[in-house]
Amino acid sequence: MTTLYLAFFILPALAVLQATVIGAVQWLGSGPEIVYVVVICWAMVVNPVEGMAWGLLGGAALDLLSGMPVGTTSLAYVIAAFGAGLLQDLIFQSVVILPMLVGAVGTALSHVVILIVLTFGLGYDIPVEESLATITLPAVFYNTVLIFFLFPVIRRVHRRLYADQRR
Amino acid sequence: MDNNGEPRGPSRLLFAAMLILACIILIGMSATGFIGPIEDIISIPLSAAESLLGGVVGAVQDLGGGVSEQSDPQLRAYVQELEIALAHYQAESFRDREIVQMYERLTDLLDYQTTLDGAQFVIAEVVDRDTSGFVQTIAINRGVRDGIAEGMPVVTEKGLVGQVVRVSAIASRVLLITDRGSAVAARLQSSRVEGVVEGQGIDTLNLVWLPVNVEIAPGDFVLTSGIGYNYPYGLEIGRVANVRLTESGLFQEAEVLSRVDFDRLEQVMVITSFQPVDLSQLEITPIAP
Repeated sequence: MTTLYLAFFILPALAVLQATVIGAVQWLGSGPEIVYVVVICWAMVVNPVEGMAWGLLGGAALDLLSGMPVGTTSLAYVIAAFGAGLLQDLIFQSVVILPMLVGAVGTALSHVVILIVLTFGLGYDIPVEESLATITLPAVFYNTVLIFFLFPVIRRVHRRLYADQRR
Repeated sequence: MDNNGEPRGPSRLLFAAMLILACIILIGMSATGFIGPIEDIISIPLSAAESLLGGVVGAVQDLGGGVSEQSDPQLRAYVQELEIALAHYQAESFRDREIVQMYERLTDLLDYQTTLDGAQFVIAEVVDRDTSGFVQTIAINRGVRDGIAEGMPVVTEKGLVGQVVRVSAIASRVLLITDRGSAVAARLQSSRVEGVVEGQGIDTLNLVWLPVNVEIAPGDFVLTSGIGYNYPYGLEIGRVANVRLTESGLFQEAEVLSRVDFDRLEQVMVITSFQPVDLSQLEITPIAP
């Protein structure tokens, strides 16, 4: 948990970026989810426990900036980070394929969790199939592509931080 | 423990279970408004940063593309000089255009104000749109400090936009009438028939619960009826595009087109002189004989 303090600075900043810059460049009804991608990368590079903690914070920051009850996105990201750890344990590690696979599966999983909370938990009237087709599918694509580029960067950042801590 | 000294197996599962439980409790407390004041305090720096960055993004979006780079090395210096000059004039022109557009928008809003006698307004900038795609909301840069309260209607000169659903000190969240959870008591201007305008998650709205014995013509204006006291009477919602019978055949429903472009909202007005009333408190419970 030594790098957890980073989350308090990075994740709110990324959430603001998500709500403004990235939110303004959406295509096909959806866009990349940078907070989610960073959470998943962190869960895979560092460990799922820290990833889950990052998911809680990042999701809460996003919920505060959106109209959803606080904790909705956090729940989705915590479960996605936990799932990322499970997949990492189960599947033979490939440098490129595994993060992308985890990113794709986790995106779908996190959206399903959000839909369950909103529809069954809070009574929102959301067309589930339509939302999965128009929001989740493009997001799976964008997040998978983003993870391909961001995963090596986060791994390098973590190595540098880890090296600094050992000195 | 893994190679980072972090827990695995049952410990990891326990940690996940604790966080999931914490999230569920958080959702419950947030949905019931129990932690509203804490959310408001934490939202202040986030909303301020969002407002600042949102303004920059909007400006950049309006600016458009730049000038293509010359590949000829002999002309590069000259081109660079021209690029700097062009960028300077573009910035000036952009600023002038923005001022003109803002002036026109504010004039429209002020003209609209005069059509609603006695109502008080606060003009607000739209600083964010919900990016999750699951709900249709916008954030505006006016909050409790500016007299905004939950339930206040939000309009533009083109019609009803939505209702304030969450307020912090410096910003508010507005649920758009296009959201699937939105329902507005409405009345057709010519036939005086009442119904409910429901959001569909897209720009078109659905006017439901219309009696079958009334002829409804496309083009008829749809206004807020004031029934239920959630919105003031007489705000424009849109115009009827087409009418059809429901599957049961007991009612008619109409597709309603709003003049508001919900994807391009920049300035809106919050009607601060109207506060909804919870009429359920006035319900009479029947007394047993």
